Amino acid sequence: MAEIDPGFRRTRRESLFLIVPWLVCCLWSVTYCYLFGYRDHARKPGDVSSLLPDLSGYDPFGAPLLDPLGWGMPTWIFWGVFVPWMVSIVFSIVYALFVMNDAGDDDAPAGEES
Amino acid sequence: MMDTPRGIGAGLAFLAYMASVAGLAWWSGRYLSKPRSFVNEYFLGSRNMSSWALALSFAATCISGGTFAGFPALIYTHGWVMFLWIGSYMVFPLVAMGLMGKRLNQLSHRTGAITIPDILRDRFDSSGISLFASLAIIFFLTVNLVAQFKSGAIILDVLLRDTPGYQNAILPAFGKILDQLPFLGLTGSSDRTGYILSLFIFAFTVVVYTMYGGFRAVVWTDVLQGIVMLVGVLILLPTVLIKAGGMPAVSEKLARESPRATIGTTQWDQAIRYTANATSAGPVWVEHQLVGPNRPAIAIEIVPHPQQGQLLRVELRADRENRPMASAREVVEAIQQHPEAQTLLQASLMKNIGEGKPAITSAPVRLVDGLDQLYGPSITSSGQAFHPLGLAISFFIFWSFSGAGHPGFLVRLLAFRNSRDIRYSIITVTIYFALIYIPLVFIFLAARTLIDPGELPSGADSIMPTVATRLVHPLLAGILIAAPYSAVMSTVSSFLLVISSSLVRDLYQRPLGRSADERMVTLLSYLGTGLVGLVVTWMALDPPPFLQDVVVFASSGISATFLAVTLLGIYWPAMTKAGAWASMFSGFAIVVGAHFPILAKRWGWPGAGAPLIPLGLDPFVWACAVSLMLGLLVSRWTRPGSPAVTALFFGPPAAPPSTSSHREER
Repeated sequence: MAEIDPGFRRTRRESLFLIVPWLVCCLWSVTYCYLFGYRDHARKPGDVSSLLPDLSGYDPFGAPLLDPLGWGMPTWIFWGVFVPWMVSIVFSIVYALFVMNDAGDDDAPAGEES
Repeated sequence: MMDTPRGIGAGLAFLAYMASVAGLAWWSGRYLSKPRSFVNEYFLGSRNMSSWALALSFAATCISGGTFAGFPALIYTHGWVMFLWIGSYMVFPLVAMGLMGKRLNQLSHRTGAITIPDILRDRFDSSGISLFASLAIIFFLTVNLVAQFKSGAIILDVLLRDTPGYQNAILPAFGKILDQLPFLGLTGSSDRTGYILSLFIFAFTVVVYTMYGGFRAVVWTDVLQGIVMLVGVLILLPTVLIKAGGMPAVSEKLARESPRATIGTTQWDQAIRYTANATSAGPVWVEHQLVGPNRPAIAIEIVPHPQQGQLLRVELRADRENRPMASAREVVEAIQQHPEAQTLLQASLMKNIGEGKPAITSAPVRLVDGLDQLYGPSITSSGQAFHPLGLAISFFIFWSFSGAGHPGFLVRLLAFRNSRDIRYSIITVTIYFALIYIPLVFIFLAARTLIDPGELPSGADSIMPTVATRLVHPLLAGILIAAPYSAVMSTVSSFLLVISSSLVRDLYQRPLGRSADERMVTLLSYLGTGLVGLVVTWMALDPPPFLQDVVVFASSGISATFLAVTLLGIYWPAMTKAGAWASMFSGFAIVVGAHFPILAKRWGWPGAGAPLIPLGLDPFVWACAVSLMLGLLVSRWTRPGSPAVTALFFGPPAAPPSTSSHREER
């Protein structure tokens, strides 16, 4: 096996690490939304699919309907998608500025193929 | 229908937009005459463009016409679950740009590659893999472009329809020209004259500016288009929310909505609104059916629905042309006078629709509860779950990784100057997508409380232009309608260039190596772009009717073909040529095979129709999993590539200035 560039190893490590935040977002959003948006509401018995239990005692106009900030989002959307979306923006900025670096660039000048 | 000031506003906005596009293309074209490598300038802008411009270009290319047509229609119809449907975009820039962007960019600088097949050819030392990759790109992107061309033509037709003189003078004159050119096969297409003219205008403008200005023109027009889209969305958000009384009021209103359905929302179908009574036990379904001449003009019966609840069946006697003999008003009156029906639901005629013939439904339509717009998985009018758990998982995977594996997006990453530019672009695109997609959900949920489905001229798909023309100032309406047109144009121009780069670079220049004539390369680059544009325009004259399926098929097919092979190829030194073949071919074959039932339906095969989705997961998920697994396994069992290739791709940089363009000169 030929000699491996340390810059490549670092690039590989920091790039493949991105699978982790993707997986966290996927698991959080889909699981939270399924538990609190697909199952936990006042659907009439058997309305949509057999996946959904009878929760006819649930109060659709009670406090949990909308998000705590008063932006009009259902709570399951607020915690399941909106909040992770905001966290992802912060994470992306931190990752791009402080985690990802320029190791591995061959110091080629701009427009090198001219 | 827009009034004249709105028509003039839309026309002026469109003219200003087209003038800007032409100016940018002319300015970009001047760079091609400068003394530098033509293919690098034409297909990558010489890799010296600013990071924010490339970032906006990347974002604009990812946003297609569907973002401003199909996506709003789905939000309007299915409500808050669409936030989860698009939720994967929270990590899309990280995955699509971060997963492979930096590495691909470094490799393209090191090897001189300007296309993805270029990189695969060098990595696996195989012209066969490069050829297969090029053909896959040409196949999938051409299929995708047909759908995009049709979208562009439809949007332009809507945009121009109310411009003074368009319907009265321009369309009739164009119709006469078509009639005098019988070899085009478009004579007697009077009902499609607007579409055909719009298609020609769209195709001509986008092909000419892409052909003339190359990558640089595409990027700068993308920047303009990205700004138009963002401004349009940010104007619309406060406008619609203020009119709707704020988002909390919107959600409350949707939650309290009784189960209802509107049947017939086009100019030919006269809309009737059905609203279920609060006392109705279980779901209520409605069906309009045509019956033979010996039956009453209107007959109503109520029977148990085969799945659950009650079905109200309205039988309508047909005339000789197989159209209902009763009017929509007579149907409504008949239901109002039917005691048993009255216990179940209320029927009313929608305003602004008229009193023509009622629509005929091919299957019973379910009255949808307002709460279904607040909670998942929402339901379709046929009573099926719209976004069940399996699809929720699939979409989270699909959006992120289809972007990461799409050569149309990956090639953008080759054009960045360095890793630093990619890092800043990830931030730019992340913020840009949040500013586009989150407001779109708010806007079109609020629109649901402001515009009734029965008022939409062509069903939910026309909600975007309807919102633009009804809720904002006439001049701004032009900008808002230009936004989806911009989205289509930016996607089309990028894909056109990717196809022509495959034709020129991968099928002509690289196989010939040093003997490839630079003047011939230049000529082929222009001709290739123009030829692809002509072929796609010809195909879009008679496009397939199931465009959404076509777009999903083409996007998932191209990404499944390239994702695993590119990922393993650039990060795993032990990946072999045989592993690359297994990975690419399996990804390609699984997506094509899973979508075969759609083609079979067109050929009239019984039982065909929807794509295969084993265990409720999209074919893209299966294709990527199998492609990745086969790439790993086959590489383990086969001989590795040459040490020279391993050193070039994974070794320390030797002498950057001399290695950077050595492949270019082969």
